[in-house]
Amino acid sequence: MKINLGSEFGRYPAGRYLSDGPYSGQRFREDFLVPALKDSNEPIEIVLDEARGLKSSFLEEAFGGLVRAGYSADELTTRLTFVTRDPSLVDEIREYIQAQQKRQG
Amino acid sequence: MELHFRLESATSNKAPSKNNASVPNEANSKTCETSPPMKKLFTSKKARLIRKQNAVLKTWRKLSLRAAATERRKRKRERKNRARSYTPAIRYCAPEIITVDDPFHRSALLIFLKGLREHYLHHPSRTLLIDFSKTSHLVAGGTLLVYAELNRLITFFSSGVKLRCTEPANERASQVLKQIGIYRICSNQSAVRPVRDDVVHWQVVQGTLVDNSLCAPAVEGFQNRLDLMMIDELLGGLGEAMTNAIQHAYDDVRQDGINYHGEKNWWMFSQAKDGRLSVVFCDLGAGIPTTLPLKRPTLWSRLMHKKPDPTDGDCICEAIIEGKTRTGLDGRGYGLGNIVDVVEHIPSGVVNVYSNRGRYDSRSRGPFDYDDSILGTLISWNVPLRVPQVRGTA
Repeated sequence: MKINLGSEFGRYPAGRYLSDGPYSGQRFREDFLVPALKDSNEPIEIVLDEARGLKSSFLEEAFGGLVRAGYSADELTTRLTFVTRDPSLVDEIREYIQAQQKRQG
Repeated sequence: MELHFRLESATSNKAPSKNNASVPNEANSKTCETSPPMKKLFTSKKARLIRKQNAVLKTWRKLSLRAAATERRKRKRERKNRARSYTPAIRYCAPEIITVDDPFHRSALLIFLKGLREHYLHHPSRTLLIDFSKTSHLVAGGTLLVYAELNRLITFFSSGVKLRCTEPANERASQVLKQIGIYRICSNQSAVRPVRDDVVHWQVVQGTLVDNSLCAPAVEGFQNRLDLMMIDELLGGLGEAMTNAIQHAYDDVRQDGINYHGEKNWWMFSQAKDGRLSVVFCDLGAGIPTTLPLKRPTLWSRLMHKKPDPTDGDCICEAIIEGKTRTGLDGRGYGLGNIVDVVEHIPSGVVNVYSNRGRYDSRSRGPFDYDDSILGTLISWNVPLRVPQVRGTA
């Protein structure tokens, strides 16, 4: 399965919660990531390149929030793959997932 | 009417028109059949009737003259009353240099802004006249603060203080005020046209949500002069600044005497000048030093342990340092750290964070404190245009 963040969700994702704005991390998680994870057990490829200005608030809420929603860091690391020209983005996303897992114990 | 009829009848009896006589129409002939025959008047009676008619006309003329005089007197009285109740506009002189950097000019600017706020609070019925005549230099940060403050006052005090302004003697300053919309706010019909290259690139955006699609045109408009990574970084920084403004800045009351409970506004300017792009963002919330104890108690207690009486500059600095190191990834900060990261890897890129009395400057990487507060947070990025790509691609 493939999700193109820039073309399917929004070119300028930013913000954490639904109340922050129309392209928040929470909305991406609830409308795209969680349904995709629930639908099948296949790996999910997330294309980040077409989106502009990805930063911590959005990324933490979208991906770290998956751990808060009940998915384990191991499962997420196995199933989520990323397409980006900026490898530090992938490191950052994995860091948010691991940090949330550590927090939850 | 009766009188007129009779007179006309008498006249027509005496000298009937040739046309009427030669071409009698049907209606006339019918009238002649049904109405009683005209009575021929004696000359003396006719003269009496004319005299009577003249007397009526004279009375009417006298009455209408009297009415006109009364109306004139009434209007004069009204004019006098208006003149008695007229109160001149209160004039507020804008500083010569509008900036938040230099302590002296910053003080002048903040006194000016305080004056505007006090006008709205204490003289809502008086016209507010901003005198820009001495203003010669508008720096992006200070100008954004003026724009934001005016916008906020107008939105909050919707009762409507009349706002006017005079134009600066300096042509460039006048063009900037026109370009960013200050003249429009002040209902000034200035004929000045923004044509200068260092003026036409000023752009203003404002919003109440985290929505980078609003700011994107102001940054992406320079995509032929900025590399993609830099556009990404600037938009990312703006997104984080918006998130901070919406989530934290308005959770406490701004110490300006106005109990504002409006929308969580932010404002943004972008300006290209001398081969550099300036992007300035601001909110008029409580400021980082005020919200830090409430929003980041752990960070606050750590700071208090280090420095029992931290200045505003210390608070900003601590929040930035903590944000920069939190992810443990180079160039990938968190919150305020993210905002500073924007120019971290760009040679000659500069970022300044002003909040209340404090300031963080990426060049000195340290805190600085002023005597007076901007009552809000202002972030300014300044990056060179046409720079090479600085981060590796996958």
